[in-house]
Amino acid sequence: MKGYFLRRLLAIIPTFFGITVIVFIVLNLAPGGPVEQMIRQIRYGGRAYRGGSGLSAAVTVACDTGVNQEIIESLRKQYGFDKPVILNTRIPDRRNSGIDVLVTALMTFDTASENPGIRELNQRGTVLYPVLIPALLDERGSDTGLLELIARADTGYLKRHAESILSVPTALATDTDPDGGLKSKIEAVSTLFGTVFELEQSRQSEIIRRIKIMQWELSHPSKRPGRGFCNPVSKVFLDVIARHAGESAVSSREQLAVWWAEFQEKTDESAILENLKAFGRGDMQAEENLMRAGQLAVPATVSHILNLPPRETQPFLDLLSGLSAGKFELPVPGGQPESNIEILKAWWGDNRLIYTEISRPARLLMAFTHTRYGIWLKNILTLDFGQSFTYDQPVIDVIISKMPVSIQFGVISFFATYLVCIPLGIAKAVRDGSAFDYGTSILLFLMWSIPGFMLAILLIVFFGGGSFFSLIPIGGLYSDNYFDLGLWEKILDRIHHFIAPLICYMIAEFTTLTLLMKNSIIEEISKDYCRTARAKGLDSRTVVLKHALRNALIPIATGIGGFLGIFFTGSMLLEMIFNLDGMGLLGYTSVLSRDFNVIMGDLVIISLITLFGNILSDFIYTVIDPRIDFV
Amino acid sequence: MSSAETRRYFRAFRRRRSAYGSLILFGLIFCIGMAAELIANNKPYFMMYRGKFYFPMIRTYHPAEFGVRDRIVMDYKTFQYRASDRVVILFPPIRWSPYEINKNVPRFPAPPSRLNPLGTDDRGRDVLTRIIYGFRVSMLYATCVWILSYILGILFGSVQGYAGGRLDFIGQRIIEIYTAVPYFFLLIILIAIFQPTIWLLIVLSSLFGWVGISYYIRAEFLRLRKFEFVEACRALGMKPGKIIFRQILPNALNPVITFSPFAVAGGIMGLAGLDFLGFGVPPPTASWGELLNQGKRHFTTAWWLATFPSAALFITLSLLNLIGEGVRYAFDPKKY
Repeated sequence: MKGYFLRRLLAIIPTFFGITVIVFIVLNLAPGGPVEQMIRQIRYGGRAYRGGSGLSAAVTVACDTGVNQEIIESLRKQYGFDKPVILNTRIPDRRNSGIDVLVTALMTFDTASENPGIRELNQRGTVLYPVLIPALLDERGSDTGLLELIARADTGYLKRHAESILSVPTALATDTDPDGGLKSKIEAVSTLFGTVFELEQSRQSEIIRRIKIMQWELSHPSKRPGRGFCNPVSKVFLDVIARHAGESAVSSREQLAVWWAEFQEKTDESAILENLKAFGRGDMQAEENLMRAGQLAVPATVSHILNLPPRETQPFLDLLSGLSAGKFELPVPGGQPESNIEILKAWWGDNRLIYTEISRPARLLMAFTHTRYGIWLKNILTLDFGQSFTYDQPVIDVIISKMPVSIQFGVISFFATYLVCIPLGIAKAVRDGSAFDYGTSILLFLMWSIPGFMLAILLIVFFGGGSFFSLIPIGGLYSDNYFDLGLWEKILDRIHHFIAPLICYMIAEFTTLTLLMKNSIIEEISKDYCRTARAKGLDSRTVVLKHALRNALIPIATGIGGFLGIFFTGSMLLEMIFNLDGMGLLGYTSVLSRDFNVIMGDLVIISLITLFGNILSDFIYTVIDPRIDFV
Repeated sequence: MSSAETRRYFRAFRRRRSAYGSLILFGLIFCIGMAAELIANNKPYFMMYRGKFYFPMIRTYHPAEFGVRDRIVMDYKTFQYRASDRVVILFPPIRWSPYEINKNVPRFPAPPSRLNPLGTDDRGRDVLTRIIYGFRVSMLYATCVWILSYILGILFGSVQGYAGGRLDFIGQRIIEIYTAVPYFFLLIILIAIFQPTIWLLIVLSSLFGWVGISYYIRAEFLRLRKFEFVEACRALGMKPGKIIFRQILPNALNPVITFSPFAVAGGIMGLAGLDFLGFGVPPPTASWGELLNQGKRHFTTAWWLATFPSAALFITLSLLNLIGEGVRYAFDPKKY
């Protein structure tokens, strides 16, 4: 018997696994995915929803209307939308790891590359390059070294290394290293840095490269790379602005002016504008054109801002915000914009795999764990259901906070049902065939045809103080003035609020349980041992209560485990009608508000409780009646 | 099941007067519900106008044919005619369509009156008419779910029970998963994701409703597959599919028949619950759950909105349960 239950308990694991698969499928059936649903939910009231599918569309929408980037990122992570659904066949191996990936990424700039590392890097944008260059120059740029570099890559670090970064072209000129590979690497790097640092020298090639990317972007509107971070390049750009502006500047506008004066000396704005125009996007009148122009339009925009009277500056700062998709805040000199290191850390966390060596078994495991389902399951196993956006707190906390109400009603209605049904069943069995039995049978039968929620509505309509009597409160757990009452009044108030829901909870099981009890007793009484007991001269009261009852309770006891579900999860309909703030109502409201995290958590927890309830009822069965053998 | 045996069961069923009476009464209600258009309609069965016969229920006539110029759709109830037109109109007993609004009452929901014997709902539609039409929707849903889920349950149960062994074990585990997931909640989630139509509702409900009957079918098959006639069939070289569906299944149908009335009752109750929550048939379809929901919303002002649909639900469920009891008694008289 022990072995049987051990096996049953072990079977919970695959069963739970199956349940998670079902819940996962259901959640993924939601059109556009939960991420899109939630974003739409968060930003309703904004502009009309633009069609599209999957995350990219969601992110595009979010960028357009300024939904908090952090929310989207956390959603994206939580649902693992950057990962394949069930099986990940694209685990990178050693050939693709390390410096080579970075270098290829830097040199090819192929945003549609097969290699996930290269694609990832190119999508993340140039914010990483300043960090990577020292690693490249430093040829000791091993995996761990790189990790450290990335971890340390705050603006302070960038500043300290600014000189070495700026001296790259010089180093290149003097470098007579026979290793042509390194030379070309550095060449590529310096070309890239032309964007920001030496626009004059490499402007042409840079712009051509940019235009190529933009052409690609325009032909793949749904796959715009880097939309998730929306242009970290402009962050670098801003860093440069801050650096050029110097510490002496007072206001942000003045900073801009100082920097722009310097910038204009080195570059000519008209060349940028000409290139923009040549690309067919006109000047900066249209927002759409500016979006396409990307950070290349930033200097032109800045110039325009500076030519405007101060109170008209704000719309253009907003415009810049649109371009960089983050709030366009001019960095305060000496201050530390913390988001840089945060971005890099998050990036490293996501892409660590590409740069570290993975053993074969680990890769095999990752094929399953590094998927949307795998991540999701891992979160569930640690009871991490994410954040509820309607309650604005972790889902598990929400669910736990709703449990007491459901448990109260579950436990009380459970005991009340058994307390009434068992004696009633016995009484009916003893007086089988009498007028009492007949009358109660009819009554029970009528009750059987009353759905609990229908009774609840009728109770409220007739006794809830509407058209007829005002006997019961129409919902809630206690009155508004509950906290001003004395202890005794509090108890009475609670009971007053309990009665109507309790009746409705009880009616569901009442008839079946009573009749089960009655039939069970009748069956036992007709057995030989009862006849023997009576033949010995015992009165029928003793026979029924001492002999028959024990055995007759066995079938009743199996119901206990099944009750566990209602114990914890309540009844959706009744909780809704009586406005009881329990698990059922939580499920209902979260479905209405499409709070997918709560739905998911609710589903999983209810299923788990039910599973244990099933096993518990089998267990109770064997404890009461050792003859029963499931094996 | 031989016909003699069937007749024996039927006789046993007939002996139970409560069940037989319920069956007849339910049959009557069922006919009324199915012929809802003939019972409650704002168009007359037929109409004689200037010596010509018209059948507005079957055909749509332009108001101009009756000399009405200021309308696009003919309203037979307010039709003003002269004595010289020799008009004879035969209306159904209830002169409301389920979507028609009673514009003659000052506010909705209006209490029972001569025009609306059970009052109107909060959009001014006749409650009695909507109860009749709602019965049909409920029956359509419940019957379809019953048939579909029983087909699924019989398929799963019979294959499981006949095969036994590993297939049975795997099947049991799948069923365990199915039963652990809260069915009503999952249904609501799925309905909330998709746009609900009654057919989608039926399919989804059936997909989650087959487990109960499959238990019983499986148990019957586990018992019957050891019988000699099955052995004989196998010895004759019959294919498993034929043994399952031709030989064993007819002998294993007892639970199917005894549980059917309760399954239909459960379906009606389930749809009422779904409609009550707003996840059932799409508006403006007439449904009992929707009326109950209105009753809950207007509980201070409109007692009739909750009371009459409840009565309808209660009567239907009682009749079905009584029939079910009778069937159970007929098949297995020793239990009750």
